[in-house]
Amino acid sequence: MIKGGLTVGVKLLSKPILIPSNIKKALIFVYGTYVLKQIDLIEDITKLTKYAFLHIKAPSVPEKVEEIINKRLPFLPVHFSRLEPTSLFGYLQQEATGTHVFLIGTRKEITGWETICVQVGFPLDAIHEFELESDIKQVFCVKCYSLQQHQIGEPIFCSKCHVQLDVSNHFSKQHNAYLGYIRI
Amino acid sequence: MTITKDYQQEIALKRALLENTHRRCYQSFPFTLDAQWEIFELIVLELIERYPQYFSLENHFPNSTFTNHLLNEQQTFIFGKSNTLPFEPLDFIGRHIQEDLIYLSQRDGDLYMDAGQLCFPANWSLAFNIGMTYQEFHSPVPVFSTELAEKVRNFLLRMEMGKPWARLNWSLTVGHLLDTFPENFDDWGKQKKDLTSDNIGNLVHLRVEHQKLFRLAESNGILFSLHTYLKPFEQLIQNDLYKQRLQSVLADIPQYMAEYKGFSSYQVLLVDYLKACDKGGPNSGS
Repeated sequence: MIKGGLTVGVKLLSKPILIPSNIKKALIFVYGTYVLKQIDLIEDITKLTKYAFLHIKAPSVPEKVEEIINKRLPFLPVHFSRLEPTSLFGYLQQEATGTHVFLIGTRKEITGWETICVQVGFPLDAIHEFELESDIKQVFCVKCYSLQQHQIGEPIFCSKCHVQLDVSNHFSKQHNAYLGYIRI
Repeated sequence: MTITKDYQQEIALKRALLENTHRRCYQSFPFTLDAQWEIFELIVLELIERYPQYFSLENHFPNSTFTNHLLNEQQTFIFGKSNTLPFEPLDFIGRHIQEDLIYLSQRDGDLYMDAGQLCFPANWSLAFNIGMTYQEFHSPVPVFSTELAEKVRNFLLRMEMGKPWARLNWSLTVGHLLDTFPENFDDWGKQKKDLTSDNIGNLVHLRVEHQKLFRLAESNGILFSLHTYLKPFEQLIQNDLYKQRLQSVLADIPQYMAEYKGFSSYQVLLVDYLKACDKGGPNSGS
């Protein structure tokens, strides 16, 4: 068992998670912007299995990125694509039982990929999330239940009920938002 | 389920909260209706068995009539037909007991908060937590690490029918307030600022939740009930053993836990109050 949570540069918000060390196959999905900053984490995941594949969401193949990854992880097959929902759904459908997916990105990106994994039929214990901090968070105002966009580092006032909110790390997939407590 | 001397007062408060802020106090997914009937049945049967002087049930197939003699209320319904009740089954039966009720579905090897009636929360939001897994809704709890949460969850996943479990949870509340929702923290949270060494014994209450967990046979979910009790410190310290324990626990509790439980801003004041009482102060129980 290893603990996920190694990061370089980008803050990892997820709590350390336990992952079985004897998985058959690992599919790693990461947003292009973060791939180099999360290379340590990706390397850790590849140590869990003999069969790991890295899928990078990027509109084109940035040569420098590919070169760095190949140098650091020469055994790791790397694919660049837009990871469109339809093609991702079809790709994941072909996977056999025992395949685990590792999702690295901001909450918004992870939620999109996770929804497809669940629709395909992946069990939840085969879906591992590594949430990265985004500059903008969606916040659930606990007073009026409206959703607010929050620029990290700035004070936040609910646009509907006008209370000042303290943004917590408590996240709801149902609301796709972080809980905003009332500040007094 | 336990009926106390505060029944009438607490049920009146519960119903007023449900009337005025229903979304805050009640949440459910439509697929939980069968499980809600199971909870309804479990609670009604327990009430008529434990408190036959207060509750009764008459069956004239297909109709049943539930009577609450404490409130002088009667409801005829057909079991399993939700349109024969004025509210969803969980929402209905919760209005007859002092406990808050949370339904946890069990599926995909996990527990999900899929329905609940919550009127007396210790500063947590049912409207926000609805749909969360066990680990997700416990994520704000400090020290409740992933590994520990996993162990507790695995224990709950293996809970058997007919073998309910109980535990106690505690925190502190300023004022005799059961309905401490985060939704109106701007109303009740301000009272912390009014605390002084003179009024702290009267205003600060020990809040104890008697929590019970029941495995449901049909749905295979879990009913989580919480009965909340409040007692002011000035009463608690009349008992020397309680006074010593409170002093010891509150003086030694880690800062992060005091913050989580919501009393870090007046922790020192409270410990000083208990010490003063120990030395034979005006409210001393010695």
